[in-house]
Amino acid sequence: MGPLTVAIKSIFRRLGQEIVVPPPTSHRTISLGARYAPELVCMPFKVTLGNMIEGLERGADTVAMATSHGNCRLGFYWPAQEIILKDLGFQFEMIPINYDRPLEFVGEFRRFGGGKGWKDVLPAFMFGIRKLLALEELEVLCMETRPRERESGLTTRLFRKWQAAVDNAPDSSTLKQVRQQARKGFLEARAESREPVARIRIVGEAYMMAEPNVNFHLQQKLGDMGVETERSYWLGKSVVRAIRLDRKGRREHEKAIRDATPYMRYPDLCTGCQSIGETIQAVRRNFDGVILIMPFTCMPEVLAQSVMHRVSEDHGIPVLPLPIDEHSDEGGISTRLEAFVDLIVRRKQLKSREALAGTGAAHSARAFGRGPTTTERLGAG
Amino acid sequence: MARIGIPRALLYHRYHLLWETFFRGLEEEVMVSPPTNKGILELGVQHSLTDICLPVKLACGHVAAIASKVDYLFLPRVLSVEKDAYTCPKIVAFPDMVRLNIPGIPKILDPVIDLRKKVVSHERQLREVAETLGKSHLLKKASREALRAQSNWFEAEPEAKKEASFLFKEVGSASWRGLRIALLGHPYNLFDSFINFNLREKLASMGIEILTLKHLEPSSIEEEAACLDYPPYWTAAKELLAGARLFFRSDLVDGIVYLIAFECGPDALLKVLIDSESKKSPHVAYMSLVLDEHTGEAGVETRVEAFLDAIARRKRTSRVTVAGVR
Ligand code: SF4
Ligand code: SF4
Repeated sequence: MGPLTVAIKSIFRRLGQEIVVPPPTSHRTISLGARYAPELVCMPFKVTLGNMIEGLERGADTVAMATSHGNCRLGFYWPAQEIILKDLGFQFEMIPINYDRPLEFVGEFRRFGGGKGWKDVLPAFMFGIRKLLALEELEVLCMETRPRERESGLTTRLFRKWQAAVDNAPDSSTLKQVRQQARKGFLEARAESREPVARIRIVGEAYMMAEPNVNFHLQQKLGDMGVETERSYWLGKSVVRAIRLDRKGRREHEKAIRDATPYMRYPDLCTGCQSIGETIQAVRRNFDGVILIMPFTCMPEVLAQSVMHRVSEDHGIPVLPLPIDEHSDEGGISTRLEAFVDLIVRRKQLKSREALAGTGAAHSARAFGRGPTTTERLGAG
Repeated sequence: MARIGIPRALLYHRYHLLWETFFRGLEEEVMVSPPTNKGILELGVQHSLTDICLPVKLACGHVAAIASKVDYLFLPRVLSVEKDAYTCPKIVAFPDMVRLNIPGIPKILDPVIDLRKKVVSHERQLREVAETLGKSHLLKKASREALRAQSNWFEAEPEAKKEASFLFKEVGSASWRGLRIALLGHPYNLFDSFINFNLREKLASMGIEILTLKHLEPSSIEEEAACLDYPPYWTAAKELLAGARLFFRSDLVDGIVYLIAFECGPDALLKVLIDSESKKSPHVAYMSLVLDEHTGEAGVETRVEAFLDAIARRKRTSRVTVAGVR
């Protein structure tokens, strides 16, 4: 169950509504989606179509689908999906949810609220968002802990445990406690002696980044290779940003877009530029490499990819573009990831040897201080 | 007098009259890249990303073919040509792709054309270009002439390739003669004879009447677009969908062939809508044809042949049935 499902479930539970949770994305989901979707469409379309079919099979009568007002395909997912599903004989109401538009977004929830007013909907919504943020923090903790874990598999066990706790938390104060305990638990799971072999930032298309079941558990795979990862996109953050509660996030986002200007002269016209800006930020923040995850044929990310080699050269950071579709195989992806990690680890060693010869002391001091700092940042958040 | 290079690709196929007339009005020399050929495709493949759509790949090839011969490249960033609608994001970012991926690029003229929020006169859109060229004094006149020329686009005959090679069995079957087929697709898929293996010319030379969106009244396309259940926000897709519906509903054609470039973002979704329209009008035959750089001419012809044969057969049977009823 993904973070979004937990959050939405919580919102509806509070509003006293029933909701059909589609089974987690599986091979069946993807192959169902791929069977009924047009062959050439991007992968998130196929997966969400599969999710919808599985939800409708379980008796759902309303389908809510994210949409946007940008110029890529997302805004046109729902009409195409509605047509395909109705052709398959399903009867339901399709509700597009535009989360670029804050009030509309909350308003849509009001429609489902069974006649409840803003006074009930707003707190339910905010609580859902809090759960979403809590779950995403758990993921961040995993990304930091896995390469340092005391025994193998500990991170995954902890994640399951705390995920269930978040899901069950009935109110904000319980949720707060759960978050604190989880932080402590994850910190204790680290082995003093283990340091990550490298740090990688994951940028690219949001859906592929956030769905472990379609990105072949990218974060976990890298973590098991001893790599600490960070993601540029979090749903919770982007919602909070959209409802204008996250000033800092907004500024960071705008900065990323400005940073991309040398590569895309009118970056606000092309969404892919965000990945470019985020790659440049990764250099500033001392990451050793960047993975650009994208669905095969994704329009904005293909644009990013087509200038990324220049970004990588100019800023001296290795970038691995990772296009994925339903034909991608896990073995192939793993091999590419391993080769990439090898490359950046070797590159890093070479660099630190050079640094040792010169200003070695300062360098290693900074590397040493990194672990605790990241945890502090989370503690505050 | 400066020499302005324009790649014969992407929106050129829709706005060639506008652009060429404009630069002539500024008293500049216009150099359009030659019609697509194998060499241009190879250049395009060499200078672009593997995963990008074929039309953009070809456009890169066209740019590379003329880059060293011109003083300026005209690559307008056409973001939007009407209120609340877009063109494809790849078209907007095309100048960047060119700049960063193709060596030896001259100065690029890339005015932003964005009519999403409000209408900007053609003159205003291109003021920057005229200023760069030091031709501001000619801007007004050039703009007026360009717009007048473009208004004839619907009537203008697209240039046809002369020497069409034929692989079609026995150079077409006699039963195909007189069939009316609509070709649907982005202008750069329809009017670039290389990308579609001369389909338009070949069919026409076999006595098949070819219709495109150009044969529909522009105003009727607009009207139809206004009453779509799900209006696409890409202008080209919206026109295609509206045009498709007009063709499906009317008696203008016996069949519709929808040409899609592999890896085209908007078309991948538009296909769902056009497929669904076709189900509502079973009396019009319909097929979609995906084109990429690996598509073989023979493969395309085989599929089109089967399609035409099926239509011809159906027409014959329906004539027989009608006769039988009588
Ligand atoms: S961002 Fe990419 S994957 Fe998502 S809808 Fe747009 S084209 Fe498809
Ligand atoms: S509309 Fe399709 S073919 Fe045209 S540039 Fe965009 S993706 Fe390529």
